[in-house]
Parts: sequence; C-alpha cells; structure tokens
Amino acid sequence: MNVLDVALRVRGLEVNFYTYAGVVKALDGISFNVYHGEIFGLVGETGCGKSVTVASILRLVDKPGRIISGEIYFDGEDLLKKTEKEMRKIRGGEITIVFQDPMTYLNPVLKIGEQLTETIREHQDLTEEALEIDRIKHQKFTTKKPSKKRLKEVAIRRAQKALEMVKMPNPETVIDQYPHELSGGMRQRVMLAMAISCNPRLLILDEATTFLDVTIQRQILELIKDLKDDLGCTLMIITHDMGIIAEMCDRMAVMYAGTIVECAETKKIFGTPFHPYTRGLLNAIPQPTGEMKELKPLPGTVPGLINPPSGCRFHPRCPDAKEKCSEVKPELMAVEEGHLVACHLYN
Amino acid sequence: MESDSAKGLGGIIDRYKPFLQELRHILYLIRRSPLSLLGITLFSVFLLLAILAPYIMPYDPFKINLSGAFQRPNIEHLFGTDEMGRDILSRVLWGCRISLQVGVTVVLISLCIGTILGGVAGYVGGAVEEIIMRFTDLVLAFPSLVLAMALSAALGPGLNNAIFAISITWWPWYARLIRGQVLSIREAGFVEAARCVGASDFRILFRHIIPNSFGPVIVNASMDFGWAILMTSSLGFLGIGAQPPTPEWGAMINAGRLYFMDKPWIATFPGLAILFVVLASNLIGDGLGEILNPRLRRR
Repeated sequence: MNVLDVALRVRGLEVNFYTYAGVVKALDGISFNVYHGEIFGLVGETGCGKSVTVASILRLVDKPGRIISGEIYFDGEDLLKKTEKEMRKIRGGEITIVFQDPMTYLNPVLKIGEQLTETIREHQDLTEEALEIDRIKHQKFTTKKPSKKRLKEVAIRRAQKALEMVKMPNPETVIDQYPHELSGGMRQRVMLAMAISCNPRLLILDEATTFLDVTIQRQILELIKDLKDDLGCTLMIITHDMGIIAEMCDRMAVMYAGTIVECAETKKIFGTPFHPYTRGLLNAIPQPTGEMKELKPLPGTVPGLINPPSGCRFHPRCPDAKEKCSEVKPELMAVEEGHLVACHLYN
Repeated sequence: MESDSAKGLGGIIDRYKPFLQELRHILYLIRRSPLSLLGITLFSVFLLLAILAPYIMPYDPFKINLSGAFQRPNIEHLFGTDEMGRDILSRVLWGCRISLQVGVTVVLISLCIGTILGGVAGYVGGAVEEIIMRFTDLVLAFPSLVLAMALSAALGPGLNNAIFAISITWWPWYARLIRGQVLSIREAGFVEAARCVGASDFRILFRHIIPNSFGPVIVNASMDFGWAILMTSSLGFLGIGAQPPTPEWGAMINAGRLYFMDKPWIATFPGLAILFVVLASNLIGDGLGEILNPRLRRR
C-alpha cells in the first residue's frame, strides 16, 4: 500500500492534560496509519489514551488538555492546521463517531427526528431535493431558495432513509419518538444512523457496542460491516474487547499508557505477538477451544501518567525488561514487513 | 403522517399512548399531593376570574359615585365600596387581570435575561463567566425591594416602570440557577455528540443544553410568579408602582390604609386576593418541584 491509500495518518501525536495534580502525558507521540476502506482496530486498557486519540482526531480535546505536537493528516490535509469552522464541516460530515453509551449521548428532550436532521441540515445541501419536491408535488417552478418547511421535509426524509439503512424497525414512528421510548439497541441504531447519515469517509466506533448485550452486539457489528461496504468508508474501531477486534478488524494497533506498542495486521498480531504487553494481553483471554490453560494475568497495574515510567512505559511490568528499557524510549519499528513493534527486544 | 392515516384511528391512538399514559401519570402525581391540587385549583379560579373579569364584574371598576362611598359589604356591593364609591369587588376582579399579567411579564423578562446571561456564563466560562457572575452578585447584593424602589422611583411611578424595575432585580436568581445547570449539563454525552457532528456553540447552548436545564427553572418560575405579584403590590402600596385609579391590589390597599381602623373592608379584600394568589403560586411551585423531581417519580 502506498501513501495515496492512507486515509488517516497520525504522526508523533502528543497530548497533555494540565491538571492540578500535574501534567498528565496522555499521549506520548503516537503514530499510525489507517488505509482507505479498511477496518482498523485500536485496542488497549482503560485510560491508555484511546479516547483521547479520537478526540484529537476531531480536535475536540477539552481543557485542560492540549495537543502539544504532531500531525494528523486526513486525506492529505492536516487537521491540526484547520480553522474551527472547517473542522465543524469535517465533524459529522467526513468523520463521524458512534459513542459507547447511547443513553447519555442522545439528548433526552429532543425527538429522534430532530437530532438526526440536525446533522443532516448542517452538512448536506438539501436545496436541490427540496426544489425537486416543489416541482413535482406542488407544481411550483422556482429557482428561489426553498422554504424552511420544505428543507425540513427533505431532512426528515433523509433521516428516515438513514434509519432504514441501520435496519430500524418502524423508522417513521421512531422519528417522532423521544430517546427514552427506545431500547438500548434501538438507541445505538439511532446513533449509528446519525453517524452515517452524511456519508462519512471515516467512521469511528468508540466502544460502540460495550453497553449492549452480546446478541445485540453481534447484530450491530454485522450491520456496521454491511454499512461500511455500502458506504465505502473507512472504519476505525476503538475497544478493549479483543474478540471484537479479532472478528472485525483488518489491522490493529495495541496501545499501552499513551503509546502504541504494536501495530500490524490482526492475523499477525494474534498469530505471533511480538511485544511482551500484547503477549500478556492475549494470554489473559480465555480460549474456548483447545486444552484448558491457566490464564496468566499481567502483574502490576497501568502506571499513572503524571509520572510515567522512564524509557519504555511498560518496563516495570515487563517480564523481559532489560537495563536499556528503563533508559531509552523504544521507537515503533518494523520487525517484519508491515509489523511494527516498539520494543528493545527486537533491535 | 401517511403511516398514521394508513393505520387509521387505532394507529393514531397507539402513537399517542405513551403521551396519554404520561398525562395520566402526571394527574396521578397531582392527585396524590393535596396541597399542589389546592394550589392549582386556587390558581385556576384566579385565572378564570381574570379572563372573565369584564363579563362578571358587577360594576365599572373606575366609575366614581361619591354619594355611595364607604358602603359596608352588602347585597349590592358584596365587598363594599371605597372612598370614591367604586365597587371593590369589581376592582379586585379587574386587579386580577393586572396582577396575573404582571406576574407573567416579570417572570418572562427576568427569565429571558437570566437564561441568556447565565447560559453564556456557564457555557463559555473563563473571564466572560467571571464578569457576568460578579455583575450578577452585584445586583443580588442590593436588597431587591430597595433596588426595585430606587429604579421605579427613578423611572417615574407607573405600572410598566414597576414591572421593568422588578424584572431588573429578579433576573440574577435565574442567571445563577441556569449557570449551575449549564455547568453540569455541559459535560453530558449528548453535548459531546453534538460537538462531534459539528453543531455550533450557539446551537449546542440553546438547543441542547438550555432546554435540558429548565426543570428546576420552571419550579422557581412558578414560585416567583407569586413573589413578583407581591413585589408589584408592595411598590403599588408604597405609591411608586401602579397609580390610582388603576385597580392594582397594592395601590388599593394603600388607598384603604387611611380608613383601615373604621372601614377595614377597603384594604382587606385586595389584601386577601394577594394572599391567595401568592399562596397558590407557592403551592404550585412546591407541587411542580415534586412532580418534576425524577427521584420521586414512578414509585
């Protein structure tokens, strides 16, 4: 794959949070590529910086956080150099997110239809279709701006279409309902409809299925896969569930304490994990088949990021730590073709 | 909608079933708290009287009849007549209209100012917040009646000036309340979601945050409704609010004050009217507080 195929290119992204207790180095210069049309998984423990990565891509890192350095190229354009106005066009239009908890991510006082059309009217040009309706239905031949009512009608139509795309039962009723009238799975479908309603080029799922039970989770994941093919977009999945990654992703990156420790094709990582942390992660997952093995947990806990360990951030917990590990920060380097690992063991 | 007509009446009923159930639940909640029921009843009576005042007034409230002055309450004049011979019942009824209008206007004006300032302060934060909120504190630091009096006196006596003066002293409460609400709702998921779909700050604040912050505000507003009426009457009583011959309750009490010892009915009936309206508004406020409190629901 060459540079032209790169949809999202993150280079040396560094994000700090300036809190009362000290500077939290949430992202310590992470780099990764997401290629056009692939499903990319970002996996890691709670607090390792997955969500901060997503927030940085959309430039929504809130105070006291700040993006210190790095580049985020989306289809060849540096998002960090865009103005706020240009970013608003990109958020929800070109890059969209589905969040983990549809309960809190839908506004309880607005009808589903209103929340969906909000995005649509913000990002799509509805004039053409509105005029079309004027011409066909109402026999009005004008080139003037269509009325607000007509624009709303078109937006509602598109919202309905989006709901149909996510296989929502009775979309025309749902549009007039409030979030509390829907079940968890339906709400997640609404979130998904919102995300795909403007034909995004990059769809990010931020723990999108964590709060659903496994059967619904399965349905939603299948649906997302189909949608991705229909829309021809790139998909990025953020999760701590290795199962989802194994099931869905073409390539993946493993994060630990604000760094990316390993990045390769999913098959490769599950087959031959190089980084000790990845190995530890995979050892801690029960295997449904084969002989019964004792699960090996990683000793220790995730370090606090105010005073992260020197050198490699994993070295205090690493079974193979050497002297060098506590001194020099390992760079992400190719161990095999397309298999990047940040570990001194392989240099 | 097309689907509704296709399904016919049954479909429509189905669609609004949750709404009807909600309504029934609210009625149930109201029934369960007798005090708020009393408040609502009282208030409805006053509202009805205010609307119907022109048709049910026995006399013209402005008609002077000096020969019939100072009549005790009797069959012809149920509440008696005042020093000009005007029928007090008619004047109290007409005063209903004035007072309810005043209540609504004051609450709406202060709510608007308070919502905008408090909302912006809470959402924007930083120096803007400091400036707005310190200014709010400044206004709050004045005793509200004194400030209202000063403003009203400076603007000149009159009902409209009194309304304006009271609104100016009242908005800081709403600004504080809304700011607090905005601060907590700002962190909600749907706000982040709205930002992620590229909604503007204006839209996020006024479409997503503020409608969600209105629960406690409504409770406060319904209580303040009574207070606003009380304040206006106070100004009227002090002679810097509504001016005679306007049949505003406070002004009427002021007029009756001189004769209170031997002709108490002149001041008593408008006073009772104030008492009951304010009481009704407070009871409704309490009741709403209970009904809108999600922790007390569905038990």
